[in-house]
Amino acid sequence: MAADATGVIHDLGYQPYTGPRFGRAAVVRTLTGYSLRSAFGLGRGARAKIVPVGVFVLMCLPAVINAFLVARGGTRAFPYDTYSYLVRVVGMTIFLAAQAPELVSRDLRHRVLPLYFARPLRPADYPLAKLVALITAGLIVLDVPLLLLYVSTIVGVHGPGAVWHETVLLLPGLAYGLLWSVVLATIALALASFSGRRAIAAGAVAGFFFLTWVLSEVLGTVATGPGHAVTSSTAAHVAGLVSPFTLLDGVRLALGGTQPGQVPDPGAGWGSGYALLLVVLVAASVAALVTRYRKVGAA
Amino acid sequence: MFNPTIASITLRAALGRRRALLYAIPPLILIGVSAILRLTSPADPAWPARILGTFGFSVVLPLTALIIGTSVLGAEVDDGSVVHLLATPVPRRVIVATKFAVATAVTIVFAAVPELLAGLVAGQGRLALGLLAGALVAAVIYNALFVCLSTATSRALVAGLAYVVIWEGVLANLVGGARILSISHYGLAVATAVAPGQALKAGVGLTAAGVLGAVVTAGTLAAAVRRLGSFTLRGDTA
Repeated sequence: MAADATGVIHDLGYQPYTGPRFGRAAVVRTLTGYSLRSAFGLGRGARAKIVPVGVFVLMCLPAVINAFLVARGGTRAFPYDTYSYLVRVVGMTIFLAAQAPELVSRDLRHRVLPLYFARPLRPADYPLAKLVALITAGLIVLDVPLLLLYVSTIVGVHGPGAVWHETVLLLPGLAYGLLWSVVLATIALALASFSGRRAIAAGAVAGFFFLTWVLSEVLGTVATGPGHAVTSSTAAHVAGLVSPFTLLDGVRLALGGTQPGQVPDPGAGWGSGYALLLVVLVAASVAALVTRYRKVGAA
Repeated sequence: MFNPTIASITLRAALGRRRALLYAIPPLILIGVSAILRLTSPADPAWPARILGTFGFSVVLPLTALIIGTSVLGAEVDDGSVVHLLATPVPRRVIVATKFAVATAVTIVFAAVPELLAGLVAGQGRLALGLLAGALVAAVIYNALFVCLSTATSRALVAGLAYVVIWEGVLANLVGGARILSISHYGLAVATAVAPGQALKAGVGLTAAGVLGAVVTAGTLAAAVRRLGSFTLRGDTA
């Protein structure tokens, strides 16, 4: 084709590739898969695996403890909906602070984004592929321990009725894990995408999650007075609005969660308020992400 | 033991490019929450000690010190420009001492002074002074630790974060024994000594806090100097 084109300055006679090429879908698929691998440090050195694997082991600890207790004839030690709230909060804070910058900040830092967008990729594809990868990674960290908990429990119960009972309890727990993963990963990725320096991005993510969580907890204590159980008061409900973790906990209680949580049961009114705020947070984060990558090349 | 040139460059790098705004968010939250609680007067009369002690000392102070302390030296290690600094005839101990001094000063501005202001906003002058004293001490110890950490590993922020969240944030407030080795509680011990009778819940005595704090500060700074003395620059972590 180059032979009969006029105005060609250089034609060294090389054969160009004229066969079929992978399109946009394949690029997005590959990017998602590769990002998911890098969220766990797979395909990279041992030092990159310390944090994700360490957090995963930490999250599995309650399930392992449960396996021991059930094997000794006990009943299930951790609920499927809250699992272990403290372990989850600490685990997800560290996991997202370490791995969200890993997905986005390195590309900004090394200025390789123009290379991605030289492929048939639309501006929104890149952040959304990264987001899907981080949500999936979060889901693995949150829900695989739940499945371990389930398996270690059903080996100790007798009869199909008991197994079915456990399964019915497990399914909302898995869905709740997905909700955690979507909310937290979206916020974390949006925060991380604003800095090309991994340390600054990690600090911003960790600062947001950890600071709001402890603030909400302290405000809850202050609102109800010392030594009291968490009671339903307007101040305690407002304290629950501060952190994504307490919002998630409040939504769980409003949806019929039975375990007492960090916040008092918000009921239908406050519960829908919590849910609305979560939706707003996620939507704002996705919008921020997509806007961030409309103009590429800036570090 | 102090090099003004290094200090000014470090200060500019730490506060430049709108980063000062980022550091200002946590102290503003601290002061804002104190103001709101002052106006609404909640059920718990000991709320200033709870907000400023628990939230201030186990979150705002360590997080600020973590981000600043690991970046004064860590940022230069990260982009490789530390070789220019190490190639100058400035002794390593002067480099560490200067970086540490700048980090401590910035932490005091963004975390210790806000404790004083928030205490005054809460209407408790004595407590405010105690918190300032405690925060000054904690800022010194935290920064020594984090400067040391940034010479030891290129992932100092994540390592320090795990320490701050797991040890200072959760264990030190749940498990009594962990308080003996918690820098926040050294700060709270000093604060309690200045402002006794408040619900600050320091887990260690003043003497123990002083001795252990001095040991940690001296030990980590010495380790940082040693570590920088035989420094090898690696590429970006694989």
